[in-house]
Amino acid sequence: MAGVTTASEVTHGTVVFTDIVGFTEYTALRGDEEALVLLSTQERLVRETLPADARIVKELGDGLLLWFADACDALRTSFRLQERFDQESSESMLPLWVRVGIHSGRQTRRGDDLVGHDVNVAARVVDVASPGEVLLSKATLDQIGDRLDGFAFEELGPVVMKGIPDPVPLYRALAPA
Amino acid sequence: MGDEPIVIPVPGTAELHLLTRSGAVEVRAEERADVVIESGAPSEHRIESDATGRIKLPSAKGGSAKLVLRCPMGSDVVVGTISGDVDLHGQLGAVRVTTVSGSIRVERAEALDARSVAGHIEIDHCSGQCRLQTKSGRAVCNGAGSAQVSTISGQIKLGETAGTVRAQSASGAVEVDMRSAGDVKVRTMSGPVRVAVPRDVRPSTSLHSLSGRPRSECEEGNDCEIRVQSLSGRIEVLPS
Repeated sequence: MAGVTTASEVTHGTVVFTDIVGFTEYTALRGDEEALVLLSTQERLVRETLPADARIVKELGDGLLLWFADACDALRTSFRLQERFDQESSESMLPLWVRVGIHSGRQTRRGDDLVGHDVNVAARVVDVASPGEVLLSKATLDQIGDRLDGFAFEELGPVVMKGIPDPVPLYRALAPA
Repeated sequence: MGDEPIVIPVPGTAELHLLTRSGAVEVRAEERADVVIESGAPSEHRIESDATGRIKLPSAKGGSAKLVLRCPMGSDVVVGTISGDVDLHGQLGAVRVTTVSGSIRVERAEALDARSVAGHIEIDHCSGQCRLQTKSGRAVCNGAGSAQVSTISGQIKLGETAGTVRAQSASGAVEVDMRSAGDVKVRTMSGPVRVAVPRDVRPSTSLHSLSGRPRSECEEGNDCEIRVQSLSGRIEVLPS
């Protein structure tokens, strides 16, 4: 658009999407106030767990978009989060049934937000995950390489995703025993 | 591409990687020593195969053609599709299927990971770990070594489970028929839960519901652990 300039900056890192499974049903069942408690509990646990060089980019309804400089930090933190969500769910009967999708690549800053193809792919990765699960793309696995001891990865195969031209190879991450 | 079947010899079993967008996928495992692509194959240069029996192909017509294949029993199958239905017959090895709106049917597998957003998933028998996920579709497995199943609104029905069971649904009903002593953990929001326990098994039960009425008619013991949590769903643990 003539006369309008947009400040944008390309960055490289790892995007993590979280998504509370069944949030709509929970809100219908328990009401808005309890739904807000669920959301704020998720956010509190995430803020307490994020390493210093990671950040919450934005809230997306019942999910969060997180950014990490390092793919290993992203995976480790995702597992730590799942542990804390599970612990909270068991202790309080608050259904923090969260699924996590991770994808690494190129992102474009738009103010505090991140946009771009690789952000869209990460959003599709979380759609495939089950509650309590951490899925990651091959791009993230390649960045992790052999830098993480103990973690195992099960190949789910190339996943065909709506709106993404090429199939994305996905892996299910398993925490160290 | 003509209608002539394509025959690819394989050493023992095959490892099939099949991709479509809207095209359905049908695979039939039987006693044979080759893979036959009966229809839906792309041009031959898009079919990758190697000496280990690993075969990769997308379906023809930009992924809209129906893929029909025959393969040796015990073959591993990986399928990725957006809206194609997936139908796998015969005894297969490790099976992994992801689809957005297609339904998934598997007759027999050694291990299984099947995920659909809106489609139904129906499994006859999985001798090992059976992992199923669908949001609004129904997830049914008539027999599994162990099972891990989640839905949002879809019903979960697990029959003849032998090992551990993990089932989770927001509003879908969950039914588990245990064949032998194995730990069972079920979580729902509003979905009712029914666990049928063999008469000779005495489980340790932990049943929690905020507003529903947990009911167990099984004699307590330590043969296995049954843990059920529901916000408002009815919970029943009954001898079968």
